[in-house]
Amino acid sequence: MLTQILLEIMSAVVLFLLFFWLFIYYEILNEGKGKARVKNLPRIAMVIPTLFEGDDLRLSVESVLASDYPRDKIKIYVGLNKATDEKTRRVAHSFGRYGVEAVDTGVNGKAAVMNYVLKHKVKEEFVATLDADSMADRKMLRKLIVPFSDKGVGAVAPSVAVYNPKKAVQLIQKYDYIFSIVLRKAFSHVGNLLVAPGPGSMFRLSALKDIGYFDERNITEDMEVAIHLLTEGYKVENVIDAFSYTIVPDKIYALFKQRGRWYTGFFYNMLKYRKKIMSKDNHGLIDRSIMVLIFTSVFFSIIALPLVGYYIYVGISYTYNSIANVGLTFSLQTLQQEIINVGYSWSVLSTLGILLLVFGIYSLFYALNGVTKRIDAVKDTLGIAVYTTLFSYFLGLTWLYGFINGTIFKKKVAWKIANRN
Amino acid sequence: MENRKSKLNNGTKLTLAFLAAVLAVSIAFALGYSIANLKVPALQNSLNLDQQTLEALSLAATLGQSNSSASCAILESGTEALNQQLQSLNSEINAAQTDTTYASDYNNILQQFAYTRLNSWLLAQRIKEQCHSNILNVLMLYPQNGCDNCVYEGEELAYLEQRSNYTLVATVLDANINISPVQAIDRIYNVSSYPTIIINENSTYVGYEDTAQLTKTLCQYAPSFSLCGNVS
Repeated sequence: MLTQILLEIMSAVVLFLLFFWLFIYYEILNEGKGKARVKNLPRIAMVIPTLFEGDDLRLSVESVLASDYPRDKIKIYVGLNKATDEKTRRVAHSFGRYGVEAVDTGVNGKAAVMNYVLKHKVKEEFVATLDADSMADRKMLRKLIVPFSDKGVGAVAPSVAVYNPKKAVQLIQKYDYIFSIVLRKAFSHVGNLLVAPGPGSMFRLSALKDIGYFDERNITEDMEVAIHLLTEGYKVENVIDAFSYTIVPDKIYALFKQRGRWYTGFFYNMLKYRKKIMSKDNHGLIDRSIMVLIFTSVFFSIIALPLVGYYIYVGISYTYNSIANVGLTFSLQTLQQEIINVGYSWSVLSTLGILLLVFGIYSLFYALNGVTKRIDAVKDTLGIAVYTTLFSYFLGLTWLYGFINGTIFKKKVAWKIANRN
Repeated sequence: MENRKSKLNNGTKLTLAFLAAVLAVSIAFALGYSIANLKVPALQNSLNLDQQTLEALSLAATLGQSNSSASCAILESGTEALNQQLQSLNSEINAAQTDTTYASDYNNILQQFAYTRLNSWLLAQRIKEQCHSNILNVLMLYPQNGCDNCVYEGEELAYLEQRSNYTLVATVLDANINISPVQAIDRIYNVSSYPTIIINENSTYVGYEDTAQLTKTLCQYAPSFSLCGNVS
C-alpha cells in the first residue's frame, strides 16, 4: 500500500516535470525561430584547445574556415597543451598559411590553455570556443552572434549534435544529444542554462574577464563558466538552430567515463555555487524554483534506477519460475489470461505510467522532428525505444555515480590527461 | 533593469507552465481513478454470471438424480466449464486488488467468490458421487502471505487440469479469507497449516508440492490419469 502511494507520487511528479518542460517547449516554438541577423558583424576570435586529437583537429579547423562568417572577421587560435603530441602539433601548424595561429601555451589542461590564449592573444570582444574533436556548422557563428545585441548576454550556447554516428553506442547518443538540445533550449528560455558546451559556445570577453575566465581546476569548465556567469548576473542564451557537431565515444566504458565526469562536475559545481544560488541578496539570474525542478528531475532519475531494476527482477523471476514449473507451452497458453489480468490490475499508477510512456515518447519524437526536420519511422522508433529503455537506465546509473562522486566523496574535479574524453 | 524584466517574464512563463502541468497531472489522476474504478463493477458482473451458472448446474444435479448417462455427461462437462470460468475469474480478482473507493465492494466480491468456489467444489463432489464419474476433485487452501511458491502450485494444478484426460476440478482458495466455512473445513479435514490440498473430500496433504510431487499425489487417486505414465 505504502509502495503503491510512493510510486503514484513519484510518477505524478515525473509526469508533472514532463508536462512542465513540454509546455515551456511549446512556448518556445510558438515564439517562432529568430531570423534576426546582425548587419555589421563584429570581429570574433575562435579558440580551439587541443591535446591529442591529431587528424580530428583538422576537421575542426576546416569547419571554422568553411564558416559563412566573413573570413577577415575571424581570428582562429589553436591552443596547444604542453603535453600535446607531435602529430597534433603538425596538424595545428599546417593551417598557418590560412592565418590560423597555433599557440604553444606551455600549460596543461583545457581551461588553462583557453585562459592562456584569452589573456595573451585574444583582442576581439567576442570569442567562440570549439573542442578539437568537434566541428562548427557553416552558419553557426553568424547565428551565435545575434543574441549578443543584448548587452546583458555573457554567453551563447549552440545546439550540439553527434558527428557521423556509426557504431550502436554512437547512434544511441544521437538521440540523447537531440533531446539535450531541446532541454537546453527550454532551460535557456527560463534563464537557467547551466552549460556553455565546449563544442561551439561563444562568450563576451569582458564577461569572461569579469568572472576571472575559466576555472582551471574544473574538468567541466563549460558547466562552471555558465553557472559562474549566471551567478554574476550575465545571461546565458541558446540558439537552437546554431549547430555544432562532436565526435562521441564509441565504447560503452568510454561513454560511462565521460558521462560520469559530466555529472560529477554538475554536482561539484552545484556545491561550489550553492551559497550564491541560494543567497537572497544575490544579483544572479539562476532561478531557485527552476533549480528545484532540475534537482527533482535528477533525483527521480536516480531513485527510478533501483526501482526499475527491482521490477525487472520480479518480472523475470516470476516468468522463469512459472516456465520452470509448467513449461513454456502452457505458460504461452495462459498469456491471453495474463493480458486480461493486466486490464483488471489497472490502477491510477498504471494510468500515470501509460501517460508517462505516451507523452514521453511523443515529446521525444516531437523534439526529434523539431531538431532534425525528418523522422525515419523504423530507425528512429527503434532508436527511441532503446533510448527510453536501456540508455535511460544507463543514464540513471551515471547520474548516481556522479552524485556519489560529486557529493559524498567530494571527488576533486581536477584535470588529468588520462581522464580526458 | 534588463535583468528584472527578464525575471518577471520568467516568473509569468513559469507560473503558466506550472499551472498547466498541475492541471494535466490532475486530469491524469482523475482519469486513472475513473478507469481503475471500472474493474470492480466488471468483476461483480462476471461473478453474478458464474453464480447463475452454478445455480443452474446445481438445479440440474437435483433434477438429474436418476443418474442417466445423458444428464451425467451434461453435469460433468458443465462442472468442468464452470471450473474453468471460476479459475479465470480467480486470477482476474487477484489481479484487481484495489485501494480505491470500491475497496469495500472488492472485499465483498472476495467473500462472495470464496463462497461460490466452495459451493462449486461441493457440487463437483456431489456430481462425482451421483454419477460415479472420474472427477478428481481438489481443494487447495493457500495462505495470503508467506508462501511465494503457492502461486506456482496453483499454476501447476491449472496445468494438470488442462493436460489430463480426467475431469480435474481444482478449487484454489485463500485460506485467510474471513468466512466461517473455511474454519469448518480446517476442523473437518484436520488442516494444521497452509498450503494444503484436500483430494476427493477424504485425503489431506499439507505443505507445498511441486509439479512432480503433485502429479504423483494425484495419480494415487486417478491411476489412468494421462500423466501418470511418467511418474515413478
